[in-house]
Amino acid sequence: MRREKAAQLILSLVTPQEIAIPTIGDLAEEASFRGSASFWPDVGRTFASQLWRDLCSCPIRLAILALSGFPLILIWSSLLLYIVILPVAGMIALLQLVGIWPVDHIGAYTIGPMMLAGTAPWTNWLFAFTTYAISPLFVGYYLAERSGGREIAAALANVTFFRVLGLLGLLVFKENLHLVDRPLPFHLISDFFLITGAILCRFRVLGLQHHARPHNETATA
Amino acid sequence: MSAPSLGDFEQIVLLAILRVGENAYGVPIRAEIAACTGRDPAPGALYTTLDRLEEKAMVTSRLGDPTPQRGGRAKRFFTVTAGGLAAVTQAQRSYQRLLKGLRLLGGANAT
Repeated sequence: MRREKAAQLILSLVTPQEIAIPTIGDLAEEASFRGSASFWPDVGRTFASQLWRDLCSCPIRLAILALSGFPLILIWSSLLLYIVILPVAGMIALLQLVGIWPVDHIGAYTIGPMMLAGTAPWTNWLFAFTTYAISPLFVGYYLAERSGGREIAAALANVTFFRVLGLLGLLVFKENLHLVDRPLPFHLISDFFLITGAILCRFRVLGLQHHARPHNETATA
Repeated sequence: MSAPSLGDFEQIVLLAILRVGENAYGVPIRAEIAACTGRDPAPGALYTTLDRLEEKAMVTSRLGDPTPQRGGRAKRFFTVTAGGLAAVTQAQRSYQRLLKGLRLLGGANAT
C-alpha cells in the first residue's frame, strides 16, 4: 500500500488528485494480475504522458514563463545577495573581527578579515549558494504559482530553456567549452532547486485542495 | 455543423468504451483495446486520451465506490456522450466511404 501511496503522490504532481487516485487504483489492479514488475514502469509512463500533455496544452504561456525565469533568477540573486545575505555575512565578519561573535574556533577568526578584504573563498560559496540554490528555489515556486495548474511543466520548460540558452552560449563563446566536463556542474544544482520549488508549490496547491474538499469526498478519495 | 475530428486512438478508445458498456473504467477499456486490436496500449496514452476526450465533451466520467481490492481507491467510469457517438460514427462512415470499391477486406467492401 505504501507503494501505491508513493505513486499517487508522484502522479498528483502532474494531474488532479481526483484523476490520480483512480488511475493508481487501475494500475495497482493491473499489477495484481500482470505482475508487480509492471507497476512502476506504468506509473512512469503515465507520469511522462501527463507531463508531456501539460507541456503541449498551453505552449505560449509556458514559453513566457520559461523566458521570464532567466531575468527573475538574476533579480532574485542580486536582491538576496546584496540586500540580505552579504550584509548579514558582513555583520558576522565584523563581530568576529572585534571578538564579540561567540564562536571559539580558529576558522571564525581567520574568515572575518579575509571576507572584509574580499579574498575569502566562502563569499564565493555564498554567491554560488544564492545563485544556484536559493534563487532557483524561489523562482521555481513563483513560476509554478503562475502556471495555471501545470507547475512541473512550467519548471521543466524553464530548465529546458536554460539548458538550450547555456548550450548556445557555449557554442558562441567557445573558450568556455572546457567548463562542460566539470565533475559537478552548478547548472544541474540550479535545475534541481528550480524543480524542487515547483514541487513545493504543487504540494501546497494539493494541500489547499484537500482542505477545500467536502469531508465525504475526501473520505472517498 | 460537422462533428469535431477524432484521431485514430481516440476512435479506438471511444469504440472500446462503447463495447465495454456500463463497466467501462481504465482496466477493462485497456483490455478490450488489446483484445480487439492486438496492441497493448500504454497506460499513459490511454489516460491522457480519456482526459482529452472528456475535455472535448465526448465522454463523461463518474467515480464509483472505493473497493478494498484497489486499496480503497474508486474506479473512474466512462460513458460516451451523444457528441462522442456522433463524432465516432462520422469518422467510421468516412472510413467506410474510403474503403468502398477496394478489395481490402476479402471483397466485403467491393460493392
